[in-house]
Amino acid sequence: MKQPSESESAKSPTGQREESGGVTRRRFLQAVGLGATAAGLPENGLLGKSPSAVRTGQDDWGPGAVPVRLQVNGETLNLRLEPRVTLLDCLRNHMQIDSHEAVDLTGAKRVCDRSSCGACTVFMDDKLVYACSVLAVEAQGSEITTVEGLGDASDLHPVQEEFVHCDGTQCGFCTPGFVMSSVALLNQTTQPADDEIDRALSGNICRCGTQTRVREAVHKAASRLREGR
Amino acid sequence: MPKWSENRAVIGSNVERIDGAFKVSGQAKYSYDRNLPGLLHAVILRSSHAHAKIASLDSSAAEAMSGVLATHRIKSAGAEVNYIGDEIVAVAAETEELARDAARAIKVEYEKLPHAASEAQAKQLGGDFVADPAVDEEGDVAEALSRAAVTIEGTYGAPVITHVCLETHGLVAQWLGPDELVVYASTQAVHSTAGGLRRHFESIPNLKVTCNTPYMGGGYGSKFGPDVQGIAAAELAKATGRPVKLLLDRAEEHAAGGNRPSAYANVKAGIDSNGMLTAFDAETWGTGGHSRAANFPLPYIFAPTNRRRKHINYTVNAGDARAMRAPGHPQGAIVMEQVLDDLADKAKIDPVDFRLKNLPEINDTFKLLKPIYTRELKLGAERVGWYENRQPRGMSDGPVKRGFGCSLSTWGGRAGSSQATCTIYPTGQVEVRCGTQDIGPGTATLVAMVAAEELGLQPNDITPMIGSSAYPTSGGSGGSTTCGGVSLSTSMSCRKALAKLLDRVAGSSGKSKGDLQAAGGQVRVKGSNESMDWHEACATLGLDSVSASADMREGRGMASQGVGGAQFVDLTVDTETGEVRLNKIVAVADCGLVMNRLLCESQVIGGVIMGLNYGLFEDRRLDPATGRQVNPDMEWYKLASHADIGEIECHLLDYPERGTIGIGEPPTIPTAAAIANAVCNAIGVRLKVLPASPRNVLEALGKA
Repeated sequence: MKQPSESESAKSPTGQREESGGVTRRRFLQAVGLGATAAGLPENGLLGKSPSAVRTGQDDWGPGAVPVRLQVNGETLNLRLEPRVTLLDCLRNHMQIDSHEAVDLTGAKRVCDRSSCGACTVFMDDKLVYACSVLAVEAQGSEITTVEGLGDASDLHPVQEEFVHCDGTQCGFCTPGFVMSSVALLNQTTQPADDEIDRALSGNICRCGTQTRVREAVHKAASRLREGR
Repeated sequence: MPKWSENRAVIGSNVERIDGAFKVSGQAKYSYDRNLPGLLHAVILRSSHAHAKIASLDSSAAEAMSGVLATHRIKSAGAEVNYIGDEIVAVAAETEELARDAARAIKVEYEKLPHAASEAQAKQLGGDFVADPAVDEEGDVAEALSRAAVTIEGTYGAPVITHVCLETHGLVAQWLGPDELVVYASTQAVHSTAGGLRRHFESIPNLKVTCNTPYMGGGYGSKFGPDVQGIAAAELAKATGRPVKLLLDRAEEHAAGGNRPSAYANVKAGIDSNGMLTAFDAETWGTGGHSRAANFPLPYIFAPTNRRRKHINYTVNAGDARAMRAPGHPQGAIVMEQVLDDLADKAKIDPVDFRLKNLPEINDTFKLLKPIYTRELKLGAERVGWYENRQPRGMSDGPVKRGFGCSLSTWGGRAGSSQATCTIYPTGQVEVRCGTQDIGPGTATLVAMVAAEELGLQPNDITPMIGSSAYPTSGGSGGSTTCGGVSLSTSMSCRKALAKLLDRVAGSSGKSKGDLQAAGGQVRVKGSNESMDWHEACATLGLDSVSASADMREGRGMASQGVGGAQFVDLTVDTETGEVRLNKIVAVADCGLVMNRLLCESQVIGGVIMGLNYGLFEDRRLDPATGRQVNPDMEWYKLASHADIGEIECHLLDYPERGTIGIGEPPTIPTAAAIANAVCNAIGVRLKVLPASPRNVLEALGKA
């Protein structure tokens, strides 16, 4: 259930998956990740919102399944979901059931399921959201980036790398959320003070007690980003 | 007796966790993440009454719903439910949303029974709600109190807290055939989880059960078997012929996933004119839920010559307690260490000096630990600025007051049962199979490190194969026993496999086996420059591989037990708001031979953070009228955020001659007690109960 690579998705025979304006996941992340504004992206690119395009029939409003079109990690997915399905549950549980191809995005975790713990943190465009508290239908028209979209184990984002170097993970269940919040902070500033880090990560809860290690990892990642490493 | 090598190349260094890249990229597959083709989702309908008899139960409407595939009765009409959240029926459906709809469609009628939602209510109800007191006595405490130079009297306590495992309890069950069950469980014990399921389905002849747990999201003592929900998932998977996922939601996790019992004490204690603790008289009580006890060690560490303790367990209609990181010890420390400070302060003895003076020598362990505690207390006091900055109790000026406190801890940490098999392939690849599991401390990394040490390789050259009951039996990850057990079984299996490899290399090179050794990625001839690359050496195996198994008992002497730790807290209390801010915590820990400094420090820091949560925030609150938890979440059930933690300084004392000792539990023991002492030092009065929340602080100050 590995996520197909971009070259595979381009050749997808089912037509379920579409390329997104020629912007790869990695280039997209570099763009939003290193401070480019939405205005800097192509007009019809990832940030172009067209939710009305999916409202085609009278079953649009539920409570039964409605067509939902999501852009996740640079790929477009056409799903059928009940409107009550959260973005988090959609990512974790509904991808393989509702689309023809298996996409298994379980990096965002369900922990509190009510916006308290941050384990489900994802980007909607360049804004962080708790995926447990956004409905999948509301996420249409936005580019969703999950932790899997930052980089995989063989090609980690600098923040992810520093989490490994500094041991900013124990059981690891909160880690994807902390990584996302850290990336969002470093998109704003690459010279964060301790209290800025604490504030930025205060929407995430860790039970094993990795917080001081995470603080160290964010400082190290910041210095790498400053130096362009 | 075998020993660790004197010239350790890998053990003791900072080795990053080998699966870290998968964890930080969201690619690590936890049980909760296991999506299998045809997966069904299951949920459990739970009791909505704290104590009741099920009068009737009708699940027909749920079963008739489209997309609902099966129900599994956990309790039948006539059975009692003992807390809000007690399991009644499980239901499996095509989606989780649908399964929840179905659970709502199940009709249950109850006949209510009297319930207790607190220890006080249980006491009022009496009868079965109050266990017979247990009394433990030594010496003559009444006489010792009457002769004491200084006596104190105090009330101390801490409420029930829950584990809050981020990955909730549960599993995914899949029947591969009528006699073959595979589960992916969030467990601290793959073997006992598989064993529990095998026992449940014992009527199936030759049933093969495998439990896989490659990653797990926190257990802290609460996850050692399949539990009710795991068995329900396996039953539903069997009934439907499809894989079933059943993991608890957050409210269920608080209710049914275990908790640390409450602990309260009224203590009278006294010291003699030499400042020695001579009298300790305690009445203690607590609750471990509807059927478990609330025991904790007291007196703790210190051994007053005359002591008496009377303990009462109360039945509260709430989920049952389970082991939680150093079960009993944090509660013991909370009571004991506050008593020590009260005595020291009243007698005007420095609390560190008072502890040093009273360190026990009651058995070999405490004799061994005495110099370790001494070193820890001195180092911790120095690092926290105890002598420069601590003022006597209540003497800090102004509305925002600074306070200092300390506490000790002790734990066993012996090597637990473990077996491992090391296989060396002609390609040079090395696999170590061990049926342990990595619940967060980095056990997979430990296996790779120990194997690398023994084989003269690097950790990345080793493939540790853990997290499955298909691998050689290893105990559950509890009691801080994993590090010792797994290190020894891995080490001995690698030594035996290496001996077989060297035998083959000797045969093909004409050298004597005894002259060969593995080091630096080579097989070398001792005392000469002759060497052979590891891969070249392994190639002499031809088409074979060599493999050897070992039990941890073969490595006796490479591990020991009995650790002491000390922690110091520097904090600030705003006496107008009741808010406590941590400035710095210093943790000094002993764990024998430090295996991996980076990960070991992470464990200690993690223990401190769990302990500060206990000291400052956590409190499972039940509504007295209904027994319903009013904070079954992660916002009103408070846990530290980043901004609450302050600086944590960790000092690991290395005693390599003692061998491997586990460090998972000890560092979480003293933190809350040290916080309680620091708060009292700052504001001049005792909190009768933790956490040191604004409400409890203001109450102690008479302002609430």
